[in-house]
Amino acid sequence: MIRKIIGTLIVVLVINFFLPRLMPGDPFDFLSVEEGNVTVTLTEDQIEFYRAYYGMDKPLGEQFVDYVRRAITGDFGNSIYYNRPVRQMIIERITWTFALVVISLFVSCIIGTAFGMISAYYTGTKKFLDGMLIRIMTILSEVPDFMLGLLMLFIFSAKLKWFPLSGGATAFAEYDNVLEWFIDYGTHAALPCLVLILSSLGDFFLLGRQSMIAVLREPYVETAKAKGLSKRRVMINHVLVNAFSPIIARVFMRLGMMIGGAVLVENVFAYPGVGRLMRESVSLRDYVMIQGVFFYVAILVLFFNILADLIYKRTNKRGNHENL
Amino acid sequence: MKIYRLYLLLIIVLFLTYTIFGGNVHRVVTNDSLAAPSLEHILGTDDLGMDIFAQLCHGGGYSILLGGLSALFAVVLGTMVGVSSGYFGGALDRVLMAICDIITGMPQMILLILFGAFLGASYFSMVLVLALLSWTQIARMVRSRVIFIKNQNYMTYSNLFGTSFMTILLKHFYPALRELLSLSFIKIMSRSIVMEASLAYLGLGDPTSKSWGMMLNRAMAFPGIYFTPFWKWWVLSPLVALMGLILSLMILSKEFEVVK
Repeated sequence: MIRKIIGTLIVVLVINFFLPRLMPGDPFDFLSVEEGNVTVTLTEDQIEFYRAYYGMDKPLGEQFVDYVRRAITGDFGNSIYYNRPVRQMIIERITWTFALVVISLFVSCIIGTAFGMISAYYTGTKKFLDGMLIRIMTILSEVPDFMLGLLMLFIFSAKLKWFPLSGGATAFAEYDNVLEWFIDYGTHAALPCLVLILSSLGDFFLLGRQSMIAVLREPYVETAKAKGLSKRRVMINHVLVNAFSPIIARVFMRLGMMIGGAVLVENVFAYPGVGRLMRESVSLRDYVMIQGVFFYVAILVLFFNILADLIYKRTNKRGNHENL
Repeated sequence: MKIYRLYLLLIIVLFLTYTIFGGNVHRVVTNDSLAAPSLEHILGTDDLGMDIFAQLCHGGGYSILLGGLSALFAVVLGTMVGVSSGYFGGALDRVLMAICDIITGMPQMILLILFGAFLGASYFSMVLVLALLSWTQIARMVRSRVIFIKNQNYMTYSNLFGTSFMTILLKHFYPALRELLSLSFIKIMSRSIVMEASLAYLGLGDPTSKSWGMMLNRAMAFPGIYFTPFWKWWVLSPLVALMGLILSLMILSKEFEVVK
């Protein structure tokens, strides 16, 4: 476990250092050209100055040592394009993504598990309902999230005008009270949230269903039924509680995955999350920012994977249904 | 269901032949740009006056070929790693599985963007990157299956007879793995197609190509796409085509699962 963590960290560090440096294009060339203009605005001296400022004139080995030192403290210095501290910008943007992902995972976990419970309950008896649910959920989990997002953007934002087209909040808006603030942020986040909910719904449904079917075969469920407990009581107090550990572990695993994976949805809705920052900095050749984003997101993913592992072990004391 | 498989095969072959032998119809710039669907242009034209139907046909083969190639690479690599890791065990197994763990533990989409930007997103590098990101699952499945077979009684006999590794591979492992591999092939193919389309949609794909993702990217970059009727054929047609392809592949993979 510990070896895996250290190995991943080293690989992340190495990839993170070399890939941006091997990328075609030069950030300072990019900076010195203004949009729609062919003249160069930075002089040779200025470029030299920037190169020295970011430590890119030093030999590669020295740069690497420097970089590892900065990575340990988490402070990557100033962004090349935005002229602001990378750490500050990433933390700002990650908050947006994090809020989006946490809300949608929470909702999707609840809805998915509820449907999973219904489906597991009717597995043998109402084949039609079970089959229909499985079909719908599988299709939902297969359709890529950004396509769902594009469709919704055109239907709900452009045609019906229920939701704003893009962004995370109205620019330069001033709010009189909390409700107004909430409505503005809520309507902006609604569609991206909905897309993320729908795209992870199928996963939770299938996992919950499978896990609950396994629990339903256990003898203690039979006992509970024999005691004359109501169906709802059996399903919630006995089946759901015992089937929940893989689901909660999956929530944390997906949390890490989706922070990086929300790139597309963020781009569709121009939501100011960390994925959009990554995409922007790639096209701006902002090495420092790319490194920062990749580093922080990779660390978060690793962290949540470990957390998922620990939670699964902690909640699943009996160690049954391991294949899930 | 047999008919369905034949039908899908026909579509794939049609797409591929068009992409490979179809020439450059999708690049021809006509005079009427942004035209609505008509008899001349079945799905209308884009802002440069290129026929959208021709682009759609070309992009289909592009996506299918890309997905197929990367899935092929991933399956071959995953099988090699899985078999050697499961059969030989020991230090080799530990190293290979550690590599697997590391690759699965990283944020895939961000890594894809990084690689896509770094490798310049040419066709072949895209195939390679997609394969590199998706072989780990197969390797792990193949490994556990191989370990299971290795511990069977007939394998002990087979070893006592001094069977060569190649024979074991072809006579014992291959038949047991065949269905698993074809299923993973379809799944990875569909995943690669989605990933390529995503990358192209972000504007990080091969800019000279005309894939479905690239069409979406161009359409969305068109100012005022939200307020004009153009999106009905320009955005919707690649979107529907992609969804159709992915759902068809999904149905195919479900069919394999049932057969298994």
